[in-house]
Amino acid sequence: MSNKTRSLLKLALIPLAAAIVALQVSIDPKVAEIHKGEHTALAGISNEFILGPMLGLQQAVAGALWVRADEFFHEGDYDAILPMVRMVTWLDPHQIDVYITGAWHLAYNFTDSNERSDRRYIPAAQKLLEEGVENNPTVYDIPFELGWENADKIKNYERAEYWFRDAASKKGTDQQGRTNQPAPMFVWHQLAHTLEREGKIDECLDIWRKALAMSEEKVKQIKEFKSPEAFQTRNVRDTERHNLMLTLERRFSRYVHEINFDIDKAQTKYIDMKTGEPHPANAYLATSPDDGVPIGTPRPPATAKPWETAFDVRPTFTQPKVLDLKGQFNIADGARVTIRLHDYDWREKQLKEFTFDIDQSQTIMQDQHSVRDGRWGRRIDMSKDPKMYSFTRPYYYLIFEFNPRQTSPFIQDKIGWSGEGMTDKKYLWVDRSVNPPVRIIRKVYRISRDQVMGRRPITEADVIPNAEYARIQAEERAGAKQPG
Amino acid sequence: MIMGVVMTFFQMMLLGAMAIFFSTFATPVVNFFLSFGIFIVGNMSVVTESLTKNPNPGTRIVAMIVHVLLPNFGNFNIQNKLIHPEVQITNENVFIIQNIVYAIIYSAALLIGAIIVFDRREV
Repeated sequence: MSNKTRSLLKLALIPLAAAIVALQVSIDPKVAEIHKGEHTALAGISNEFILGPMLGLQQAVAGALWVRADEFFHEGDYDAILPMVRMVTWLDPHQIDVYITGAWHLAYNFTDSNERSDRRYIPAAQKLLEEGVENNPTVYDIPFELGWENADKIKNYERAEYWFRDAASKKGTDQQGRTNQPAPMFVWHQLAHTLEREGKIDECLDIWRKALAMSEEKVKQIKEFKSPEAFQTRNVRDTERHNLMLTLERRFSRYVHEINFDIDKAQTKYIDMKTGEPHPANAYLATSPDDGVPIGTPRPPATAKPWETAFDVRPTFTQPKVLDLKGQFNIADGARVTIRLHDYDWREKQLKEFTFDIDQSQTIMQDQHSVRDGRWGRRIDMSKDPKMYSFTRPYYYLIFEFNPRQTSPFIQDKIGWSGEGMTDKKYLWVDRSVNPPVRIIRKVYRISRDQVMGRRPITEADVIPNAEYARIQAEERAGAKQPG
Repeated sequence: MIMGVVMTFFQMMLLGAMAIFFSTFATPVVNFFLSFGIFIVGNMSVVTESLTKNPNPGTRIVAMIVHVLLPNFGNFNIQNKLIHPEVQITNENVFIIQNIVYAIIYSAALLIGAIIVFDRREV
């Protein structure tokens, strides 16, 4: 090769090198976007998996690790799954199932020997899902799971509403996995149910109407009337119509004129889709003197005369960490009383960063007991699970609570969504921290470690006013900020 | 799917050009380890890129040199997009074209380097 050619080739390298650098700088932001949320988690990966991420096959390794995690689950080795979840979501932050399954595992599967959840894992579950939302901001799946967990497990309906609304505003995927579909209708359904649980009935009805209108539109677009898809769409629409009518009728019965739902089922031809009034009026006209009004005239609303629930409970620690409960509650069979025992300084934390390490010194026990024949209560044995119930603090709160928002519809038919139809001489508390306010029944004890260990009896002198406990809860809420 | 194959093709083209370049002055064994080592480091371009934002100025400079000089094989890994179609790449076509041009230019530079080195050798 001549010197001239060699010099020319050397000269050509300069613009090529400049072009490489310029292209690299231009590509970097896009690569960062694709790999958002990924961590090169080589430390901690076993030798058999380490080469994959080094060769750019993170997703393949993440898949293999997830299969291994599934094996651990079926072997019952629940603790081993947690680092796997962390590793998989680091290697592949777009595996939505891993966030959802991992959070479900954290929130539901760690239990004591009596299947009571270890609620100390709930903040970790929430944070994992929030991290998933951050890394996958366009899809509905993870916000929906956050909504579901808040509604079903935590019973924080305000937060559930926030996440269901977020999910409803995002996209679903088609059969090829492309995000070009609206969020499925069940997201809207859960939003409506949550609004009902919040006592926001008008908003709940609006959502049912909106969902029904969307489904009507889908039904109109169906071309093949007998296809499975057509059947499914019509089924969804009919369910929405049924739920809308039922909510309207319940509102009418609870706050306008009480409906006899047996007569309603047999005789009502149609209902007013604005007020929920059944036609003909037979369903809400008095049929016996027990209705409190002349026969043939409209009954008063079901919640007109609040009934006395005569709520009470006698808690006793018969042995160290063994709580025996004898309670009374004048309410329908099947109502559930929530029992919570926690450290005086326990707070529902919001984690800044996901970690599955929990504070082992914390104690939080939550259970629910059903009412039968006006009685409730059984033994709660916390002595067998010292890791969950370490009782290291000097003081604890022991709370017994009935919240009408969380109870079954057939009980709400008597007491309303917000407890308007119930009262209690001793333990009624109007919780104004939520909007609209709710009337709950609550009895709170402040007890010492000595009492938990059975060395001293629990007496009525340990009961603290509901207002004081509400103040503590307000502090908790201030500590645990709402999303958004 | 086809885009993943195309990207892998250009990734391999770049790797081939690099191996040819090393073969002009290194023995086959050294060439293998050199190419393989750079392929691994190049695949971890996300790491070198993140190190360019390190608060330590020394680390930042070294990371910047490594990140810009070594071929970034990691840029061609768009398997994630194939596995998770819901992940959206802004200006996807521009991204793919930029990477293809990058592979062609880098390969051309390596092959020119190989020609220059090989020309000096006695055959």
